Amino acid sequence: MLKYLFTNYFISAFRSLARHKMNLVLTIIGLSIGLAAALMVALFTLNETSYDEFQPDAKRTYRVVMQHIPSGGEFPLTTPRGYQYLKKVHGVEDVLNLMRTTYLMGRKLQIGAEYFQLDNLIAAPENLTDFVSMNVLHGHLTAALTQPDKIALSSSEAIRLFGSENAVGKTFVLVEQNQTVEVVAVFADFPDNSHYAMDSIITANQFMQVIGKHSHTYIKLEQGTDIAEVEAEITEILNKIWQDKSNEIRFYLQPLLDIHLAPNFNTDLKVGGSEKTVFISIALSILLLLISSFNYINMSIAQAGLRAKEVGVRKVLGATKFQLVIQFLTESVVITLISALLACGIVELLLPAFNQIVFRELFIGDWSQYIVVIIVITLFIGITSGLYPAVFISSFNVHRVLGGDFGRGKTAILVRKSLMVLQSALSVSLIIAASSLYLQLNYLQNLPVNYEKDQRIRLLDMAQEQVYPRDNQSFYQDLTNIQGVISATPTDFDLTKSTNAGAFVSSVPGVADFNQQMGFAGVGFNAVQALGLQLIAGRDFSTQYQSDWFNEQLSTVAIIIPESVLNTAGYQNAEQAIGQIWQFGAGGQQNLKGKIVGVVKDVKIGSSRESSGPVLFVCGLPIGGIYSLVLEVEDQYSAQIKQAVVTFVEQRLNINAVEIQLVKNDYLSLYQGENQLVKMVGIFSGLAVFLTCVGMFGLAAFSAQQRSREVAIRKVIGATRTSLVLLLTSESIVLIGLSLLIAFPASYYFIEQWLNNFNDRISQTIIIYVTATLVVAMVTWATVAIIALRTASIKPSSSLRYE
Amino acid sequence: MIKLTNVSRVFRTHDVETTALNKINLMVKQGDFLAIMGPSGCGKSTLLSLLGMLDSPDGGDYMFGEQNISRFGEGKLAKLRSSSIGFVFQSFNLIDSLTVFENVELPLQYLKISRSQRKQRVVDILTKVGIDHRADHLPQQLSGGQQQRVAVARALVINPKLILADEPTGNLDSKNGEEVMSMLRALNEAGTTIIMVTHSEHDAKYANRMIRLFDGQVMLDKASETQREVNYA
Repeated sequence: MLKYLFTNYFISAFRSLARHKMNLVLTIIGLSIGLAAALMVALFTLNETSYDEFQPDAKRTYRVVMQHIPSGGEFPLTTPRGYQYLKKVHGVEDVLNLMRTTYLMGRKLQIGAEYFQLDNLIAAPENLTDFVSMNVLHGHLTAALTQPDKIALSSSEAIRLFGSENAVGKTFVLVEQNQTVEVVAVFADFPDNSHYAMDSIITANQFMQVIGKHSHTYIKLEQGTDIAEVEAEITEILNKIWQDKSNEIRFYLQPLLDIHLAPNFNTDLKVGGSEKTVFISIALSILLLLISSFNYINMSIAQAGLRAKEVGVRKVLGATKFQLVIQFLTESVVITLISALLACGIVELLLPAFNQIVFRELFIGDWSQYIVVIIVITLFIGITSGLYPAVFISSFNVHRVLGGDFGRGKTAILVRKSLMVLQSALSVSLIIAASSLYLQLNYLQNLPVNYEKDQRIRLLDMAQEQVYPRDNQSFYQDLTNIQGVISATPTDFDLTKSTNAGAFVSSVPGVADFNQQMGFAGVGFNAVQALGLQLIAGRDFSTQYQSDWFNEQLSTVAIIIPESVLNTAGYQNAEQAIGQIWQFGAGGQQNLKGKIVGVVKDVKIGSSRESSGPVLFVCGLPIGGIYSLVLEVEDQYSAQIKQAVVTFVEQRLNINAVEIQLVKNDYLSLYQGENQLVKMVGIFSGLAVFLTCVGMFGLAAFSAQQRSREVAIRKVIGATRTSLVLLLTSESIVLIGLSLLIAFPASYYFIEQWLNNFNDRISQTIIIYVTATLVVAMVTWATVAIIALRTASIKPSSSLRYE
Repeated sequence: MIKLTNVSRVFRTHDVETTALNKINLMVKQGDFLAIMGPSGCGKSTLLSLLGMLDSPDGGDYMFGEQNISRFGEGKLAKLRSSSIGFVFQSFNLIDSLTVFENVELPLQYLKISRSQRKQRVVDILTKVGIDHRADHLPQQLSGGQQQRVAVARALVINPKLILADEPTGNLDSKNGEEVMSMLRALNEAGTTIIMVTHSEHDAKYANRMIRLFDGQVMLDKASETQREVNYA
């Protein structure tokens, strides 16, 4: 009996759905988009939160991070010389030092007649695999980790250098060291969901005593160890080694599993994810699901009247209210299941495109893992969306329904109008919110950086003595004499990434406690010109003032300060700062006397994700460790100019394989991650807006249809088609107007609150609000007008025939 | 006033062709009160739609007054209709969201008559049919008989040459039905031409002429017995 009843319900559901094809299609489109988006975001979130989970003892592994307490500035690299002391700390089971080789050795190699550069070359100790899970494809890893002339390559690196994956036994020559190196192992490329990233590995033994912060240091703790205690001990040890008695530096332990989503460091092994992106994606997908469900509920209630007769008849025939509710729930579940199926198809199709946006390699290898969860969620959505309409419809009073009274009463009209107001309010608010979100993110992306990205090229990996010549400015004179080169300056950092050192200003005349940590930018003459900085007072470092250059005996040097510190330093305006002497320390130098010769607008270093502190430009004092030459050229794309520069530099400085990069490209690649987020937000918001318009469309269409009888009557009495279209559309415009009373204040308030979280924020403009209203109004108006026109064109005899 | 010559109307849905009216010939003089009778499906409503300019014939001619309107476009038909013909339907067909006053006022609005004139005419007609005390009520608040009276008022307010009634008492009890029929007869006696479709032999007796339709053709066309009797009285 029950089985028969369910079959009856299913058949009934299908037939009834088939009759109202347009509504069915609209609902399914809406639901499947929402479900597909939710599914993809779920995949993304699962992936993002699972980084490094598969590493051995992942839960007990931590990364050591240095923190400058007064400013909160952090740095994830430490000195490797702490190794034996750290190992002895109570509770520490093991220590891993992964060394960046960027500053420690030349990485140019020669194979036959070709030159390559090893990027992502990491020096690792023997216990590497105790911390990092690796899949060795050929050969044995150990030799590479213990012997000085052996190396392990990743599979794609092996293919790049030698053309085939199994490169074990092959050799190459390290150019600078004139050393032959043998490949002893090839390992599988590191998986996407790990923050570790290495393309080649050599032994760290030779570097364990280097001076400088070159090591990513990881610690494995024993079970139940007190983290705070360990942190305190580590702080003491590392501060002693670095001879820092300032009590301003501490070291803390960052859990391995938190690293990927925590704020990124420029020195990270690879670009990490962002908690913000994960949260925003989750919020957006929930929003899409909510909108689809809301659309569905709205449409079902609006169309309740259509099913009234059926309900009345079924009740007369003996159905209880409960059975009716079940019947209608069956319908919603059927619809949701169909949508879910469609959603899975959409995901299969669009996942590659989604991967492009989020910069990951998500995939669904095996649907069967997800099927159960998908079905459960689908049922949940189907039942919750369908519950209210089902109860609503089943409560129809039999007498009124069969008497033909239903659907014409004041209540029905009120319900229809209220739903339209609600839907319109939602649509308008959503468009406003989505636009504001997109605009704000876009704004952050495009904040002025106050240095020039265009017509700038960088020569990388220069030797310090060669580009910071105390007495040899002829190099720069000849360089700028080259056709097409306008100016040049050395730098000890990368503007598009970060400063490599900090400046600790200890004394500013007139200020008692100047506690501002600043980035240190060691540059040369003509820095403002070459880097395209925005000077607001004073002058550039210039060869006309030889005293600008760092003088070691006198400890004097010229500095250029950023605008943002004028206030803290007590200057009323930029001019006041010129000529002032500040005392500061940087690198190994303490008590330097810096004379301010210029003030520039703050440069925005790195991406908008990191809050960059103010940067102090210093003339002729290289500290950062990695040195490049920045040139201002007439045409950054001119191969001629580049060739001339390269030839000149190679000859003059006696080096080969000079690498040139466009500053502009560096900048763009840094922003790739940000762009992805903005793109994703844009797409999801666009989808949300689309869904709400679909909902509006369905509701408007339905409202117009409901009045078709009235349209026929008016036509008989003498209405023209125009007057009928005007009549129907004016009602919808009025309703939209009403909805603005809700939408505008609510949107304004919540968006204001959100925007106030940002230091740099857009201000809300009326344009967004007006545009949102226009979009919704036009969709509704067009829908109603078309249907009104259609209805008004039917011969009145046909509409009035069936009553 | 009205002359139908060989008028036909065929409905085509998918593969099915239904001939609703088959070469109908009919003449209606000014002042006539014509009752159209016949079983269900014989084409009565179709004929009424045609007469009421709600539809166009597929064949034949329709002379309304001096004009042959059989090939008139919808727009022209609508214009003519809205100033000449008043409709009374079986299910009243009032607009639920408008009050009694507004419902009756509607045809005048479409005829672009000024506000003050409209008000006067509506008040007059509401008083005439005896429903003025309910002028501000909505249709759902009235009984069936009252709603039909409003419909009649709406039909009358344009001073029509012709009133078309489709089963005017179909949804009413006998008392209200009597009232409506008496009203129609009084209107006819005052000079309004009325064409009425009805099932009820009783109602047909109010008319002075009756035709029977069967399968789209006129079977019988005679003045009612009552009328004859009156003539010979």
